Amino acid sequence: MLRVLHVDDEPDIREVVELSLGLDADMAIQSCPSGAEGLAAAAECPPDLILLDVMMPGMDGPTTLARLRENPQTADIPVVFMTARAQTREIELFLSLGAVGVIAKPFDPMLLAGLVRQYIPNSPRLSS
Amino acid sequence: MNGREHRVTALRILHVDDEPDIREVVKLSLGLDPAFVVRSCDSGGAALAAAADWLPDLILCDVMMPVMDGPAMLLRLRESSHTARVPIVFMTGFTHGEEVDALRALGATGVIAKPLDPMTLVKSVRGHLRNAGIAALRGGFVKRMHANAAVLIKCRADLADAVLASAALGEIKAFAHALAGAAGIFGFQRVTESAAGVEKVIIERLRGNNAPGQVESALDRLLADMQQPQMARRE
Repeated sequence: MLRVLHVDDEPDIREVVELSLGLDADMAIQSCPSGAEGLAAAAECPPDLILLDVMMPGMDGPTTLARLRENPQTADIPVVFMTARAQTREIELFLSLGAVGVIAKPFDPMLLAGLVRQYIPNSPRLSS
Repeated sequence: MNGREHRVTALRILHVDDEPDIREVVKLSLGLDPAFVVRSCDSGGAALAAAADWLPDLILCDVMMPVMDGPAMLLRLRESSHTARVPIVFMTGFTHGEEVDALRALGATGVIAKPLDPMTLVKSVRGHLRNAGIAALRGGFVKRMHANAAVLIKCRADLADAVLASAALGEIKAFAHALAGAAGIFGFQRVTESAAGVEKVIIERLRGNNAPGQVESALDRLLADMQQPQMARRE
């Protein structure tokens, strides 16, 4: 079972990600509405991957990533940003911050599980 | 939903077919996935009763059956508010464009081709469940979008007021950002584009860079798209 933690302040996006990934035969998804809650959830039970919104009130995505890296328990968890700003320059910036990838918003909810799987190390390339 | 793990562990599938062989194949194929719980019925009448009693996550339904065929069963299912929202996927040998369009027009979530491929049935049923779930979320999203349009119209009026304009700009920007990210997920590509346009002109306005009226006209375009959202065809 691949465990994915999703952090986004938008309830619509959390719902659709829960549905898209939750219906995958071998993914379990947990969602958090803020960077702070995401940090706590990641430390409590480190997931295989974190999907992180970039623009959030309070703690934004890049700050959340920096905090994750500071804590040895969460430092190695791969992080993928989800953002509407997915131009080459922004993607390079996000990767330089230590993200393993960027998923553009809006995404196709039917294809999200397959996209996410590509970023999970050693995951079987099944799509369901 | 926040903070708890979401994992689908029981997916209830009701299968209807008058052919015992097909019922057997479907039961075996879906049994490959431990999350599926399958109940089979040999007629539309029996399936209607089972659907009302069990409220499955999805009905897989044969099209040609004696007495009550698949489409007739779908209509009966929709008549009762209790079962109206249960998604139906038809299984049929006729999967040419017109037949599929006709079944979708009746309200089917999708179509699976017969003869069945037992090895891919699980994957296909999970895909249809996802599609049906997204369609249900889309309904809620559209309702909220209409409600938000009313708020945006009020904000637009506030833009003309020297005192209220800056708060209104901030509020519009937050709405536009959320819509730009979400609308396209539900197939409303034009709303995403207009919302991104509004966000961009507001950022420029906050930097003091754009001509008067630009935010208003971008916002009018967005409001028009929000009030009549057009789904882009994906696939």
